Amino acid sequence: MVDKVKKTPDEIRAEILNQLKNGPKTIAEIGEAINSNWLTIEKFLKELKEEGIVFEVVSSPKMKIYRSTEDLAYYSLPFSDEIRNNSSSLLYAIAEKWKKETGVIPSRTMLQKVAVELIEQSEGKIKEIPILRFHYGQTLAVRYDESSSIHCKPFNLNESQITFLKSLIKKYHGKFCKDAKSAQYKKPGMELYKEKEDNLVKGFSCFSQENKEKIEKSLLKLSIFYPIELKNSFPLFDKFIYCSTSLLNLKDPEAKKEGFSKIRELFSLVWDAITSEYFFYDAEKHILPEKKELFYLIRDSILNLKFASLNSLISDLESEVNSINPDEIESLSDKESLEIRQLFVEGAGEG
Amino acid sequence: MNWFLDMCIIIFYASNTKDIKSVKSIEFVKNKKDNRFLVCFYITKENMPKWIKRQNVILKIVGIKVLNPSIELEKIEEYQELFPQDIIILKKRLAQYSSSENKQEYYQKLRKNHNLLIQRINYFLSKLIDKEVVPIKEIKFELKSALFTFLENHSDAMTLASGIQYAQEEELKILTGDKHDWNKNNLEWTFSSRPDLAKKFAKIPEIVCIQNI
Repeated sequence: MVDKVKKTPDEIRAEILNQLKNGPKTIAEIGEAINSNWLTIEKFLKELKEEGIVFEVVSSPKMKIYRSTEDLAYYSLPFSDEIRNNSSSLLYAIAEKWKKETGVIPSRTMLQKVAVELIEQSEGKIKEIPILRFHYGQTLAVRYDESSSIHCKPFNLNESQITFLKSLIKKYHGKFCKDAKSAQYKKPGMELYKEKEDNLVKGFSCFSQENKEKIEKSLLKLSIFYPIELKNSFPLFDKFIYCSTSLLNLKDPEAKKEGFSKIRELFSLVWDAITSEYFFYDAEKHILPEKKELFYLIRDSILNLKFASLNSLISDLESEVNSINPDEIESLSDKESLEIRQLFVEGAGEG
Repeated sequence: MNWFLDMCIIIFYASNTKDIKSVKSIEFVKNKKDNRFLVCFYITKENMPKWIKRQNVILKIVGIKVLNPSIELEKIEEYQELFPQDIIILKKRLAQYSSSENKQEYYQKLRKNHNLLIQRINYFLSKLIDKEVVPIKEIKFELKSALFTFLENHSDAMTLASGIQYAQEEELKILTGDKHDWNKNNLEWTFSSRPDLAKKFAKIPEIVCIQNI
């Protein structure tokens, strides 16, 4: 493609940034939109990247995807302008109202929790703002940033929504984020988060026999609550649970303590993998068909990276677990456990 | 002595119950000393991974039933992966679950026992096996087919064929569970009608049941 109109470098830079204002794009997409060739765009994007103004989301030999560093969408997913604008302006409206009522702006997590509660309790256009599950439970598709939100127009809330928002502000002002999280996790479908918050976070605080038992029980419970739709992170989660059973039941107290630490460290990465997949799973439903390909590229690039590093850590741990002499692991000897294991004996001869 | 182990021995060892087969298998492993444990590739690379996979499916289906008791088994995707005998085990597990006093605790206990069993299997395979023998592709088809006529079970035929084949290279005893059809009479009967095989596999290994050790 040949540049049809000679543009100044500043004009090209401004046009590129304008293209990235509402989400990530490939070099080809930007080039087509501003009528410049691939090499020109790449050259300017390289400069902008070095200046910290844009960020390379996906970098493969075949494809490069860029986003603006000011992009508020989580993982810079290609949500529609409407979703981006409505989500940002709702967060802005809540922050402004909170500031007006209390004189302070709440934390970002609190803001997200209140936004979700407000959407769920309301009617009308606000209902179209997507709610997605992420690391800390439900959230909107974008993060709140005070400096970026200045250019935002507050979401137009009706009287009943304003009244409800005021009640939420009253309810949560002066409270910790964990209070808003706990309220959210009590809802049906949020059992996974509730289990983590109620037992794992507390249990992992320090090693003790009581906490070890709490963690073990809770991890086994998580395997009941594991969302069946998250097929990619399941094998890693499953191996993690497998390893944790042996490590948390080592007879030697020092070895058990060490195993507890390993499980604690790895759990945060496992959680990150599961909840990232959850986020992409929920987000996919809100991506326009013409943006799906771009979405898949970003999703696969991010998840593959997370899964690959986690897989290598879990595989190492699995090898370690498999080489532990079973005599060093406490087994269950209650009647029910023996009956459970007896069924393995019954099925042993069957190929 | 070289002991060629059937897959059930590893599972008996791993199940760690008061059942005679399990007790004897654990005892047998503890007294290993200078004995060598041989396992065929068919077990390590195919049959055991498949068995573990089916146990995982059973565990998963029980988990699904815990969350949704009214769901029909046939509507669970993975149910189709189970063999008829696995379905019996699954139904027994569900019966155990139904009769347990604390349902959620039962599942946790099942999962924990399952994990510990798999750990014992993996430990056995990685630390206690001295040699893996007879690559799957090298199992003689005619021998396997002849054994199948009385075993009527593909896995048993593949395992026993591997054991007999390797016995031509090294002296060994085959150790199995209560498989009544794995006996000298059946082998002699098979080879009597197939002189070509009798010549090719002249060394018939002794077959020992773990209960008789």
